[in-house]
Amino acid sequence: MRVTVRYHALLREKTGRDRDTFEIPLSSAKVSHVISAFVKTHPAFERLAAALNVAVNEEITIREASINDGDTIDLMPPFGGG
Amino acid sequence: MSFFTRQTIDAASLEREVASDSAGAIVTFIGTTRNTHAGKGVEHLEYEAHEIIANKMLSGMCDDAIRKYGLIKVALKHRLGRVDIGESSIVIAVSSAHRGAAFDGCRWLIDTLKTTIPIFKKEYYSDASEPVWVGPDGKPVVL
Repeated sequence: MRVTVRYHALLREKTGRDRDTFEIPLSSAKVSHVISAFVKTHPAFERLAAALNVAVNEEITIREASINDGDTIDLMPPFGGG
Repeated sequence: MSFFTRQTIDAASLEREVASDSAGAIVTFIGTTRNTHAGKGVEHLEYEAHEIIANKMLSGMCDDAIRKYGLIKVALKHRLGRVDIGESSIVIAVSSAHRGAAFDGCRWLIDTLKTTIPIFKKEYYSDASEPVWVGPDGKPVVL
């Protein structure tokens, strides 16, 4: 399946991109597979990966959530509002 | 309606929004930009957000606070973009019949916002060292 991954704040800055498209070679995949694909492409994020926040189709979710072909996934650093 | 603005926030207008004849208390939290952080001089802050998700979640969070604390009304605005020293980055005003619920509800709102809403903060320092993204605990987010 193919998903679009959008980068925010620190991620956009450090990758120098606002999005990537990842091909996940599985028929049934989870958010954690997308994070692994992201870290493989951007290894500088290996240490921060566990602290990233994730949304699938604009709903914040967990690593175990299922993803589908065509989904849009937002990868976000720790929050800092207020 | 958006919870975000790039303009100065007028706290008094949020207080007017939550005013009610049945309210015995209005509590307002104003988060302001401090000129130091962890011993370093701060020059200004910059905020960005995932506005679509954040607006949806903030709306739910305000409804939750009303239910959880029996508040009458809640008004909240958060700045985006550059925020200079002394300016407000956030204002939360709540009204309730009695002061206890207003204090508690307002505290819950700012604490919940800090850890759950996709808003991102970058600190720029007065010594011109590299700006740093800061997490909910105030610690730098580093690779």
